[in-house]
Amino acid sequence: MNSITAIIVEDSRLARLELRTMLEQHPEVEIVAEADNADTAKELIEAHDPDLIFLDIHMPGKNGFQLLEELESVPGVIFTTAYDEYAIKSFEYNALDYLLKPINPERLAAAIERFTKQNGTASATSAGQQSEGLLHPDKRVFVKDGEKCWLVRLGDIRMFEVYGNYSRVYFESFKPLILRSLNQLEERLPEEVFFRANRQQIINVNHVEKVDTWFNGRLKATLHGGAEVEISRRQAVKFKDLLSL
Amino acid sequence: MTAAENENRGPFWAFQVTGWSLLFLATIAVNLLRNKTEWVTLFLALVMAGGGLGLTSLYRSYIKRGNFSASSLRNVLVPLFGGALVTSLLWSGLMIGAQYLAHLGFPDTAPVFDRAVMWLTAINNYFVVLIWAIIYFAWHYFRLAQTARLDRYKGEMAVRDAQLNTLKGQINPHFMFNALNNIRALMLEDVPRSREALLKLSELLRYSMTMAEKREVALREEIRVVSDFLILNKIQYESRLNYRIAVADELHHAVIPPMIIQILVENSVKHGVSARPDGGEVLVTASRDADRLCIEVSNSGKWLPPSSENRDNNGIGLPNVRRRLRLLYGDLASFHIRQEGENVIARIEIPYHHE
Repeated sequence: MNSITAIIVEDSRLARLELRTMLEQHPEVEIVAEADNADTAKELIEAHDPDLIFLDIHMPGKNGFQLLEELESVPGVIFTTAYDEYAIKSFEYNALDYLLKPINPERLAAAIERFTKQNGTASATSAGQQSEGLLHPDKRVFVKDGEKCWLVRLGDIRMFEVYGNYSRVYFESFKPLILRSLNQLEERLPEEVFFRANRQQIINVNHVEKVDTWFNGRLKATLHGGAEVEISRRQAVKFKDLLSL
Repeated sequence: MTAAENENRGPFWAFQVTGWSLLFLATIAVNLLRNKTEWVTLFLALVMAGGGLGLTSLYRSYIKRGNFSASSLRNVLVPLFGGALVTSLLWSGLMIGAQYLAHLGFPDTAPVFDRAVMWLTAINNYFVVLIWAIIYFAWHYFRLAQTARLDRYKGEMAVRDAQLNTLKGQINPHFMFNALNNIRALMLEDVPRSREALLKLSELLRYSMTMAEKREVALREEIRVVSDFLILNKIQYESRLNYRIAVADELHHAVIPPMIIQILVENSVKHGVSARPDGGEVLVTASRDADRLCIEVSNSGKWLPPSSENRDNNGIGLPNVRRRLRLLYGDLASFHIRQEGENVIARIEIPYHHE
């Protein structure tokens, strides 16, 4: 059986005990660490790179959402909350998985099953291919834009675009901002998928629909959804090599 | 007068002008039927209607100057009958003068003018003005009654709203579900303590359901519930929460509005313990100063007055306390929050009463 590594992030000791006890019924879930605040959680998540975190929204200091925003790549998340109308509305609106405390064992089982279904194949591939700290396209990032938030698979992102110190993320029909510069992103993204087209944009080559020659040896790529991106002359050679592979 | 002003002043001028115009037209019509087509009858009808319009308008400003709505029956009857008499006399004088002038100027065509006509004009005019005044007063009383009913309805709505809000604010669901979750976990390691906690939670729920409708409760009852609440929070926050309740025994019979200390303590736990990674301390004290009962709830932390940024769901509790105190005690109660060193202190002062 594929084991799922998990971290519990929860400020109440008894609530951690409760969840840990309930997870004893799910031997496929292996708890590798527990954290009682966001800062500890961030360190533990970066150190252990778990498949899944159980995350309480309400914590002293930084809350659960703020923790996710700080993470470079986000594991699977099952939110837990005692009662928070606002957060629950947000989970439902954004189709994020959550559990209400006290947790119903059936709902916990269903959430774990959903996670396994969605990530079974992904975790198998990512295990072998992770090289030199680069992020696999199956990794997720947490994006929050006002009331909306998403856990987006990197591979589903068509393009990143410079926006001051932020970057604009294009996926589906959305284009929210994340607090990370394009250079920071470029360092961590696998080059064979995320290609630096020019100084302003990084594109996902899997989302390129068509490539045309442009002036002065430049290229023009059209992405799914219609966005047109110019590829600088310097990068054009690299891009042709990449595509011919 | 412009249309906008007309709108602001209600329908009075519309009725006033229409009414007198109709009387004028009716007089002309009667004259025509009687084959009196001379200019002098038109002149007299104009004086009648114009004088009536002008003088009743003056009469109205006299009525409006006295606040007749709030006064006794005598204060209404005098402006009604007396005012109508004065107005009608002035009006009759004007009309009789006009009739006399018409009689002098056009002796052949003017209507008959003698003592009997003068008396008839005066009596007739008195009744016309009296009817005008009765309609005016009746309309006003009708409007007043309507506004009063509306005000009463609004008042009832506000009270119900307040009750609903207090009920809602009573036991914070976030606290309740966390408590239940903690008790469930506590059963794994300390069954007697978890049984005790379940009892405390039941008592807290019962108190919030039954006491909410009462106007006042004994201080000891409220303190017991606050103590239960803190015990349950201690299970959640463990070493992060420290608390102390210091209330002298002789104050146990003092009466206070239910759930008022509870709301302050809940607020203190939220800001002084829950939001702080290292937790904090909550201190509840009550003291008596002559005829005043002073209650203080203090917690660790910095007082941030509610702003648009930090008013997620903590905006309900404190305004609620303030509003309830004002409803119950008016100016006799006070409620302040102050910063003292590293602590935020909420202080309530109410008149001292006991059971």
